[in-house]
Amino acid sequence: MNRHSRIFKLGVGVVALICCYASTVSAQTTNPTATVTGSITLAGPQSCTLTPTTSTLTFGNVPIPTTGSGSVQLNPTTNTVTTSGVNAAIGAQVAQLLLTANNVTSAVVTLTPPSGAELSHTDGTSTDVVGYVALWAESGQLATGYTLVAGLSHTETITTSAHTRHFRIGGVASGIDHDDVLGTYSAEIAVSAVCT
Amino acid sequence: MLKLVMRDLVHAIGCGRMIGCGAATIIGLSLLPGYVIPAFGQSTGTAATTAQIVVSLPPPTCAVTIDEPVDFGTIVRPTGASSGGVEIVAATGVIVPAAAVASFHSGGQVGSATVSSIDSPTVTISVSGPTNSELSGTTNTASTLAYSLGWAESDAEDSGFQLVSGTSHTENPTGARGATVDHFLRIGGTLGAVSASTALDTYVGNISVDVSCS
Repeated sequence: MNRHSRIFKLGVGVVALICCYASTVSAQTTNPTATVTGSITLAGPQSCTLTPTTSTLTFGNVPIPTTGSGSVQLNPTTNTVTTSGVNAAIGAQVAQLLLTANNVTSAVVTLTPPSGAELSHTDGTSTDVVGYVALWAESGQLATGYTLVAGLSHTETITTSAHTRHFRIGGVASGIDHDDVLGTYSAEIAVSAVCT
Repeated sequence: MLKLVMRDLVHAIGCGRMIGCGAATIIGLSLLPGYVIPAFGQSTGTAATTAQIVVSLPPPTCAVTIDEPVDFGTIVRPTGASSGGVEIVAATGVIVPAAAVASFHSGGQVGSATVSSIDSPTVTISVSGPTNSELSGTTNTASTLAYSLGWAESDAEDSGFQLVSGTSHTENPTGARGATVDHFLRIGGTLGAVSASTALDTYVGNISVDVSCS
């Protein structure tokens, strides 16, 4: 009994709604319209790459001083060498990197100096080290007119879909002592870019 | 909750249920220089460059100093048919006049020179002269006396001199880095015969001592 009663009541309700709706439609006289434009811009995939064009920063061949200590500075803006306490840095040359970014609006390039800010002897046994402080510079799309980067991070706003930026890495090698173990001292410098 | 997250990460990198292994690996990744974990909507690039310097010895240096000239002394010209010369034995510095002039000879000394080098594995010493192996008169250059060069070398200033055959000698100094290593030369030789016909004059000639380092 209760079930039949609920069905009946529902049926009455539906009929009532249809009656009311039909009554409202019949009262409209105009059909207003509006236009909404849908659009989408298709861009290529985002990319952000760093390519070493000169992968080694070398302070060259540096004859030790006959007494005391010396240093070599490799200026990344000019790729020129200044020595102090040593007579020469033969073959010194900055490292160079190329940042290529596509379809991004900003890039943050970060340089990570070697651990301990020093270059270690490649013989793996000597405890002698050469101190190292990084200096780096950036330029525009052309590899000219370098400007020194302050600190270890460089942020730039990108307004073109295809963007390139050149970087140079130099620095100061210090603590080249008259009694240093001869040979090659080296360390790795990491550079990373995050593009958004 | 933290344990659940860790377990998921560990599982993702393949360490299974070894929570400790996974945690260590994750921490290690974050410390890699230049390694960047991109966020959504980011792209990244990394590069590594090597900084290096070659520390080497400075170029070797060397020099020579003439300490004393070779001096055969004074000879009173003999009379008659007798003649004789004078030898200065380089290895010993002893002056030996020939018998014919022994009574008329006085003075003289062996020549000496010091070769100094720094950081030079090889030092080549050359002694030569004089031109035409003769001494010329200072008043009358046409007058000459024959001269045969003799020289000796030693590591010590006053002993151990060894006669050098020829005009060149190679030395391999083993001094400490940056230290000056000295090598010593004595220069003598044999002066030709002086006779009654020899012009009275002072006779001279130039002996060259050249040093090269490598």
